[in-house]
Amino acid sequence: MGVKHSSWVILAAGLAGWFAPACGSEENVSSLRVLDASVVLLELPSGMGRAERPAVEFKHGLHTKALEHLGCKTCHVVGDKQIVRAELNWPEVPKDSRDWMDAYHAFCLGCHQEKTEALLAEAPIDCGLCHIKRGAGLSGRAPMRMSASLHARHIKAEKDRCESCHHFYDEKSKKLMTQPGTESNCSHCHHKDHRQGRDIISNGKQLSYREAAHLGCVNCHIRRSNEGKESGPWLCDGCHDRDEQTKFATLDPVPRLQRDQPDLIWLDASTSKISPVPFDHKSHETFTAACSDCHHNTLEACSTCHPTRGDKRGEGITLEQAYHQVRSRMSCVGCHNEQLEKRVCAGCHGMLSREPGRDACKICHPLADDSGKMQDDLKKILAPPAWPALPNPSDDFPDKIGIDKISDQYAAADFPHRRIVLALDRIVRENKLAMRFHLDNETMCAGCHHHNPKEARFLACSACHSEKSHPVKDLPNLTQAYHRQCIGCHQRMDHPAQECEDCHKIKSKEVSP
Amino acid sequence: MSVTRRGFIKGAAVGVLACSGAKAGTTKHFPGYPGRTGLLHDTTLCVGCRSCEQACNQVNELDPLMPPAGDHTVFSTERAVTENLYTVVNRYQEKQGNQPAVFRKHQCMHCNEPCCASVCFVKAFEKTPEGPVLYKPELCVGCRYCVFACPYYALAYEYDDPLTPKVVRCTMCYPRIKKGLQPACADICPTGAILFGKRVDLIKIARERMRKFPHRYIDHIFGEHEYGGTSWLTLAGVSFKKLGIPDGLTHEPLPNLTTGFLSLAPLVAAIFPGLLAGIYAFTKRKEKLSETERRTLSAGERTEVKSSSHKHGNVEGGKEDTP
Repeated sequence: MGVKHSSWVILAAGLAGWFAPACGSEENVSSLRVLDASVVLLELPSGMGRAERPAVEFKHGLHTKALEHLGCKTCHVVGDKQIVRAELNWPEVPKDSRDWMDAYHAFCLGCHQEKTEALLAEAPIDCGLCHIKRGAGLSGRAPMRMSASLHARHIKAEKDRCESCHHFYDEKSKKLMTQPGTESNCSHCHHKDHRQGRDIISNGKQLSYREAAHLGCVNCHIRRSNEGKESGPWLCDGCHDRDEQTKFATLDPVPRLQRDQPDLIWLDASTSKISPVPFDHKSHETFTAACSDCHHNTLEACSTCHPTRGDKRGEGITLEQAYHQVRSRMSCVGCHNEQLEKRVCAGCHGMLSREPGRDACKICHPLADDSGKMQDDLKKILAPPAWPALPNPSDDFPDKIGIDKISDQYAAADFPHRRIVLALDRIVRENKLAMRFHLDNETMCAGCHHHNPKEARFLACSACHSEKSHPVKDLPNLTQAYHRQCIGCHQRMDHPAQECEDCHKIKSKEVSP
Repeated sequence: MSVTRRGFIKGAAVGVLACSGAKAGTTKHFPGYPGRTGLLHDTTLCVGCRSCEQACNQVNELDPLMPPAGDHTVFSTERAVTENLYTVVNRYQEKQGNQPAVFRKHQCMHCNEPCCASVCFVKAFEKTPEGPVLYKPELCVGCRYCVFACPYYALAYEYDDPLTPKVVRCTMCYPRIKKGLQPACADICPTGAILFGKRVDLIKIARERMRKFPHRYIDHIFGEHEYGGTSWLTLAGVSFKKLGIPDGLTHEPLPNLTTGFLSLAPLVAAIFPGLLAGIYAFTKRKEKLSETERRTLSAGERTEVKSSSHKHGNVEGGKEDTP
């Protein structure tokens, strides 16, 4: 069973899935209590009508601690190989609501009555001590994410045995099998919506994601702990408490995940008329947080589910769309566009249109003609582009520009032209994606010098922006252009200079009528 | 003259048709004066400098702006228009890292079909072909229906003036427009967040901005259709609800909801005296008739009784008379 990206809740009470985290109930929100990460809500299964009394907030952590010496079998079914299952250890599975109530009462109260004096001095027996009507609680529980670093730590602990967690269900033999090189995300088979696979244990159906994760993770952690090996947490808080999660050890750098993936590859749609895309798979592994950022929950090639004509498995999204959809975070173009929202990029790109330019296709599809020798050139094509050094200050590349033509109530401003270009140049050099897409200095300069004719000398702002705005063309006047460009960029880059006097001194506070 | 059943129904039908007013009487739609002007406020470009407030106060010869432009402390509360401040810039979202603060300028929206004009019974408001909605203080009786009818809360009243109080609001700088100038706020705006032009051009510009910069804008122009459309148009990068503008407003001009009903008022005034007089005359006549009838009848009865008593007088009458 898969551990990757799984949710590690210790949820060993009640028949799995019959409870929900005790947050967001229908009570009023004004009196929010912060609940322990280990609290699970014991309530009637849906469709069994209304319970007579409020659901019980079961403190799992408290019970685990109190019954530690008796073990999980006190409440849970413990199967072969000492595997703790989510089902409760009750004589028979309850059927209707009355049955459920009786079963819970027999189960909980039996233990409470029997052990009150001896072990659990505080174990409540009276109805109102467990069934308490309370306002909604804010759960301290956070979903467990298997980060790349945590996954790498698991690989190390299991000594590269992927099959410890990853498996698939073989229809013929009706057994769980392992096949190296086919590993995928847990949620590929185990349904994320636990309600859809609620009584799967008793039905013998596929486990829900939540059940699978708990069954796999918790038992492995308990076993390793019993064997005296380094182990992960097996109590609720260990994985689900927000504070605990920040304490997880992280690897730096995170070693590369090995699954026979290529370093460099041609993304080639055989039916496409445009040249294939040289793709640096290895670099992109470091740019993304997880494989699933691009591969959904399998690790198959894009074209498996997104063939050129679309397929049901890929929701009808064609290969071309899968690569180019602007609004999807999973497509190349969508993800690249999302990078433009970063502080360092947003300064220029927040003001620039997102429409692809005339030469935009060439950046990813570099070969004009489809020559047969593509494979040999991959490394060369994907080598970091040469980024020319900035020229020395000259008339064409001024160090400072005095903005004084329109000075009225404010004194002239000194625009540190070269300093700004140097700062932007540094940002581009530090970013591989920016290097690839800006091609040369001129592309970067177009951030301010927009609409400048190509191969022409860069024009001053006043070349287009005159003293009067042109409303029909949506062309702001010079004052507006300066302010929009400078303040907008400073805002988006969180630059400290955003007030009037940060750039120019006030001559007089009066505005002429 | 007698009213037949058919005649009555005919008359009633004509009356009802007349009552339903001008709306039912036409198949034409008036989309507004062609070439009318408007203003586009692009809240993604507004930096909250309040130069527009300052310019507005100067042009309208109001008291100097207090606190002066550039003072950001005013943004701690949401301000409304007052008799000394025809336009206000409010901050609806604070700066968060590289997400700049979000401001919106508020003032009279100069509706295409203004509510203030529809509720005014002395016609003190007038929608001009140039776009602005004008107010004529010489006609105003001070009822302040307009202040309460405005769905944008954009009108203020000079409550402090005991002798000649007026309703005050943004005039869209009508005198300046007449002179061929821009409204003062659009003229002064240092980032061009306020754009003055023909309304049709502004809508085209707004659409073009949304098309070119889908990452910057919510795909909606507030004021294009809301309540029949306004002269002031607003573009936003965050939901309009966050900008203090209710979302999902009807495109139906608000006056339409009341004019059908209110148009009956003159009709009531015209018809009711006649109608009531008619009913009165009718009942009077009825009473008169029944009175005459009663009299005739009782006279006849008396004669009849007399004659019958005379006939059988010896038998019954004698008995009756006998105690």
